[in-house]
Amino acid sequence: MSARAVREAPRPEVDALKALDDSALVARFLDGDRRGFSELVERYQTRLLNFVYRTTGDRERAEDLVQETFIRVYRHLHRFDQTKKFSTWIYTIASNLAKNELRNRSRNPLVLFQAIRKTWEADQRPLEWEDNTYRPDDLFRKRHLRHLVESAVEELPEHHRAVFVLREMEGKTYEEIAEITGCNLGTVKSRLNRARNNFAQIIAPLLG
Amino acid sequence: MIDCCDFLDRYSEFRDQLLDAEDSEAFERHLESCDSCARYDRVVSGGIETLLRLPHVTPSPDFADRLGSRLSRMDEVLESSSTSGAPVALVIAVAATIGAAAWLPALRENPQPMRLPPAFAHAPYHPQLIPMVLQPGLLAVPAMYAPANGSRAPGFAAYSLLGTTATQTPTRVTQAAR
Repeated sequence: MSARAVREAPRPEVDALKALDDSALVARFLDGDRRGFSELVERYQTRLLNFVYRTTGDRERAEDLVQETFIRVYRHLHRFDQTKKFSTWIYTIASNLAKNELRNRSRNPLVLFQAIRKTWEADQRPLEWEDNTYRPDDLFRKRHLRHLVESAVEELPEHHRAVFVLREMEGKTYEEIAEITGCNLGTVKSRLNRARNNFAQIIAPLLG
Repeated sequence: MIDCCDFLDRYSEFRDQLLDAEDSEAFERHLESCDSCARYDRVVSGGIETLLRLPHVTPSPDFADRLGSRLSRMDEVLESSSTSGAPVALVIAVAATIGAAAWLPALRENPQPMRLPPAFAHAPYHPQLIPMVLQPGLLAVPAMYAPANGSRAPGFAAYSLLGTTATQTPTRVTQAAR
């Protein structure tokens, strides 16, 4: 039943569901309408995937973690405090899973080695390998800048990166970030400031 | 008036427009006068613009199918556990019935008190001075201490503890009486 609900729903009903806000979808799901959950998946899957991917740096694993996030939402939605924001709750679950993933990865040398190897292999791509410095070729410069910006995010310390991605890419408020990461506002401010500072230092050679 | 350190310390609040109007103006003035901080602001803004233009990763085409399958399996497990949880009372009742059936023969028989064969003993040659309880309600004392008005038997005389005198030859003491 739930599988069918996640996979398909008639078009007019889908449109009606799309018009509902998150809390209404949650209420519908709790009332027994599984399509409410299907719409929540549709709404959050890409956002969460990008968030987890930017946090962990591993696309395939990010997809597994997003699946796990939805499984947990499905199981525990009846315990969700509906006076709170659903998006904050689901991001908190995803953030915790990403955090655990990074923690486990740091404890597992094999995974760490694979991650390093992956990065190293990516570095072997000829275009980026040709020259690390500025070149007048604008297309190359843009591509290099994108690569550098992605790397800069990956290089941020874990707890700085989560705050940075939530603010800059997901547009969360400081209060929401504090709730998602379980930090107080002061910590969020200082981590964000340091993350921006580190980020700027890495990409400064190409922008300025 | 703010300096570069203040600017960098509170840059995030400035960028996210969390400063009050007065501080915000001070930051703007500092930006106009300080090339280094202006460059810093340009780098952060430009970097984040680039970041936002990065192509988004999208879920693989079978994402929803895989999720749906996992949820279905989970539902099945939950349903089976809930259906197997419903007749718990039935299982307990069946177990109780089997237990009762096994114990029924033992429970049906009338419990008989264990009877031991009587034990015989001779009266002591030197009766002790310590009274001995022969049976509930009777006190045995050596005959020499028995009251004179009662009929006596050799050996012990038994007296009702309630005051009525009874005579008994305590040569036959059953285990049960003990």
